[in-house]
Amino acid sequence: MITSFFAMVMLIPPGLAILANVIFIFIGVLVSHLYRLYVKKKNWKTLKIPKLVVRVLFASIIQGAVQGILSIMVIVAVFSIAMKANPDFLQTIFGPPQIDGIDPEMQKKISEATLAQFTPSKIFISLLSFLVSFGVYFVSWSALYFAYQYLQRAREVEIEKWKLSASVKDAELSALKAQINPHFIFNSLNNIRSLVIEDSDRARDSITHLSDLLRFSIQFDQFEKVSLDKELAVVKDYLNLEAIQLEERLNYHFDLDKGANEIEVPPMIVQTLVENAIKHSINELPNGGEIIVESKLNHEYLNIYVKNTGQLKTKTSKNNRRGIGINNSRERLRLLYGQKATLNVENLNEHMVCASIKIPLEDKSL
Amino acid sequence: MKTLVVDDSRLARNELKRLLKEFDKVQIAGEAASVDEALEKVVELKPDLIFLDIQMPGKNGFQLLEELESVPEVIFSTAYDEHALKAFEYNALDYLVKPVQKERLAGAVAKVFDKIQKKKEQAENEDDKLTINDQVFVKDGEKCWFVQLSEIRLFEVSGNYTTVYFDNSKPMITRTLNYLESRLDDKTFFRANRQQIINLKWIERIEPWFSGSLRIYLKGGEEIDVSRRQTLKFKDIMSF
Repeated sequence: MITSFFAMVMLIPPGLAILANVIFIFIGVLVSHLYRLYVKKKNWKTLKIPKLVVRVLFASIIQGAVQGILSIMVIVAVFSIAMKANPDFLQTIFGPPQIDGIDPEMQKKISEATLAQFTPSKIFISLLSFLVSFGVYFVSWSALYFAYQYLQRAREVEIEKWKLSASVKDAELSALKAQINPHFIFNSLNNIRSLVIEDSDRARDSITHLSDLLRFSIQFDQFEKVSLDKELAVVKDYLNLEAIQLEERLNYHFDLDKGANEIEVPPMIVQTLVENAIKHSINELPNGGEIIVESKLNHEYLNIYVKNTGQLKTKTSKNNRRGIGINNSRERLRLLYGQKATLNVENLNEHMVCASIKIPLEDKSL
Repeated sequence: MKTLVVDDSRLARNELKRLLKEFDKVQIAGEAASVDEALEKVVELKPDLIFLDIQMPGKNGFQLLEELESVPEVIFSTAYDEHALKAFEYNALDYLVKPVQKERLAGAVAKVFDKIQKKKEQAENEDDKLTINDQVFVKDGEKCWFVQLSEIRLFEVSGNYTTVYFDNSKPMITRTLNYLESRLDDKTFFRANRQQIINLKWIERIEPWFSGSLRIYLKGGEEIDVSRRQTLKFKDIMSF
């Protein structure tokens, strides 16, 4: 547009040139906006590049034609205005220079010869060049527009990817969190209801245990770690409640290292092991069994053992279901402590299974 | 109604028994803490109704029903087990969630009582065999049904199993056709050939077939060829 402006300034008065160019720009904006609306409606952004290039070229030619025709109309209008102001206008632009010393007859002949140079084919070619140059404008306009759109889209895709991976991580974490089995809660409530008549003191105790257990499970979400002391208090609440369901089928005792009470552990980690022990061993044994919870502290590690009556089943059958709780706990340990923490479940001897957790003590020198 | 309470938790059984005391129609005949114990009690006591916990150590409530030849009325009780009960979407089935609401218990008991009364009116001449008023428990993969024998059109051999045709369903059961023949009432169920037992009440029409045999069309659309030997027997049964 600027080049055409300068070209015009050379030929016509600056005021008219500016007016004509403002109109050109206005037409250009109008045409490209119509084009943009169309592109949006047809959703060209999503097209593959080869298809897009063909379409853009074609569209640019059409736009160039529209722009060219409108522009020529403007030029004709501008020229006719100029001619009204100065009838010799055309002559001053396209005619030969007025040369002194040539007689008017000669001058007229030269003028006619000059005008005769503007044959229809030459006019046609110049019109065509008009179209082509406008077409080139629109091609570059499209190139910029689509380049911007592609960048924008690439950025959106990137953002979308980030969001997705963040939500996947969130889901993973919340899936890893242990929660109290609803089946257990309602069984406990039902048992307590029965206890109210048979042993009201025990019923009242059981309500306290259930409350503590629920409170812990609601609150523990906020903490990454709790003291072993607190964790074991919840385990005791849980075993107390299981004992009213399982009665004489469940025996349990604790063998704890006093020094380990304040060591921090991931919440529900021992509870999950104990729940697993009940679900997969005591529950399946008509005559019940025993659960022993042990803690041992040494210089580098806290060791926690949950032992129960029974044997690990071979890899077949239901063993996979047991895996979920254990694998989740293992994953939580890995996220918190890296490779230093371990969780293993193995047969201790012919009638006991032992789940052991090893948690590294925090380096106090740091 | 003679009633058996099956639940692994003693406290839960006691709670239910206390609740049931208020219903005159219900007599607690016994209780069981496991499926194996329940199996013995069912044979011994022949209860009209079982309150059945689903999750129990060892075998679960459904396994008890699968092992029973003919199942009495069942009201399931469960602490939290919606998934298991979804298996029953095709059957009107009563279940209670623990702790049990008294009103819901009353509703379930009344419904079962009506059903049992109706059954007793229909079945006057009971012998040892399964009659059309008996119901069986059928489990096929994830789905479960309580089916009255009167609704079954056809039993058919499929390998080591037997396919049961009723309504629009064709589940398989593990009993053999020979066993079923020995247990089913021969006034209603007829062994048409080596592969099939049909329910005579479901016959739509009968056509003579090759060399003196018969073809039977059932109301469900099945076509049964009666073997020549059985054709004689069939004519014998059907003639006056």
